Amino acid sequence: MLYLIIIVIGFCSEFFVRDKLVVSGDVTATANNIAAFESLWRISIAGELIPLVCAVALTLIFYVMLRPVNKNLALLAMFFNLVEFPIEAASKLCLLAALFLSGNADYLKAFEPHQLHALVKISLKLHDYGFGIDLVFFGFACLVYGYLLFRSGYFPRTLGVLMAIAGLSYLANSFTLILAPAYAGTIFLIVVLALIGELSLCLRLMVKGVNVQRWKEQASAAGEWRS
Amino acid sequence: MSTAVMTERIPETSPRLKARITGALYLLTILTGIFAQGFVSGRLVVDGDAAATAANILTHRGLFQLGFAVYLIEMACQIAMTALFYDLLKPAGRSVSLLAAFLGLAGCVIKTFSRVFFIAPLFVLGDAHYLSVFSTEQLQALALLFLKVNDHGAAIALVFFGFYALLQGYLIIRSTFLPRTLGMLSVLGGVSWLSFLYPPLGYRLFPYIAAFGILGAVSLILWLLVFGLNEQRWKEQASAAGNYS
Repeated sequence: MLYLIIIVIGFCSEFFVRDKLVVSGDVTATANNIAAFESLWRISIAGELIPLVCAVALTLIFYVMLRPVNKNLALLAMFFNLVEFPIEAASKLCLLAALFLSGNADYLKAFEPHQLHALVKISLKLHDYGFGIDLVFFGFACLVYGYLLFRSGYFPRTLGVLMAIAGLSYLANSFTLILAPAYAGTIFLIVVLALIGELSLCLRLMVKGVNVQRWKEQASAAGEWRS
Repeated sequence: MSTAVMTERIPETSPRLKARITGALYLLTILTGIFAQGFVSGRLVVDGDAAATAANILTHRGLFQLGFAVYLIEMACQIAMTALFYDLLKPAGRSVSLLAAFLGLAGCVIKTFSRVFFIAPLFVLGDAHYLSVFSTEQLQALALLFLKVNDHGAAIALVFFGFYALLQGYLIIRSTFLPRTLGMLSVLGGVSWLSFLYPPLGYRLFPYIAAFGILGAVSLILWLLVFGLNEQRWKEQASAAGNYS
């Protein structure tokens, strides 16, 4: 359930708010939109922080769920997530910076309007790259989760494969953004693949949960109960 | 889906193999760090000279982007290393090992986030139309400013890594399965990284600190790769601590 909240809200802020207000290739229009729809902009930022909080809780649940399979790898995946979330949250600062720069506060009069618009654009780019960096670690986490799901015995193996594909597509997306930014637009489509993997895991968890019997067997085999 | 799903557990890796993997990840972390810092950042960024830095970055754009990608791989290796060290040193002190891991993770977060400002010069030095409202000098100054922010962000992370190394050294000294000398070296390395609490001091002492840090790191890496750890004693200490059955 937490997972669905994250996917839905994340999707809404990215595609409904930011995509509409940010006009690609026109920095002036973008800055004016942000200034005109200030509260919408702020809501979308808050809306992206809520799923992050859910995601921290979700990470803990995943850790507990997958620890019986291999505790070192479950810990590794959790660490990747714990590094990823603060980076994503901190990069939202750049979205706020864009808002401040599109305002009409007195102290900003030291700059020409066009210069401010350019600075807004630079802030938005910083945010995009912050997000790109954060997806690198998310990609690694998904790979490890995929492996653990695959080996678990209490999840269908297909889910593990889908999750690993999701991880690979996040990694491909981020490294393309970094090394060959010109192709970033094309490769972003690959993230659709990732969404398929994530959605199927999420639906499976909601509808069926895990095979409790098998989970218990494996957990007691791992001898994890005492610690 | 329920047919033929095997309930197999991934066999627990032996502590010695884990120690070797940790050593390998540590080595990768250091090598990628030296590559990105020494060969990319160190060669392209000219301290105090915005114009030369900008020219270098633009002529070696590919190298600069590669440096950024390598920085991220460095962090991924370091996170994996942190997870494994936690497990290896747990028998010597469970809570201290957890604290060390959390400090290490906090350092990784800060360092990784400051890397956003490493790539930022590429946006302001590009030839996008919207940048034409600034003069070339202004854009070059912005680029150098971003690089400085990146550098200082990484220096903040060093303080966390300093505390991490201190605790790690303490745990190694307390452990029965790794030589104490390695622990002492790690403590010394940790103390010297802490000089970045006052960055001007840290930067001035950097050559000595780096030498100390690298000495400690290299000896630990070699030990982990070659000898791993004393498996017998690790198991004894682990069962005495009640962490493992």
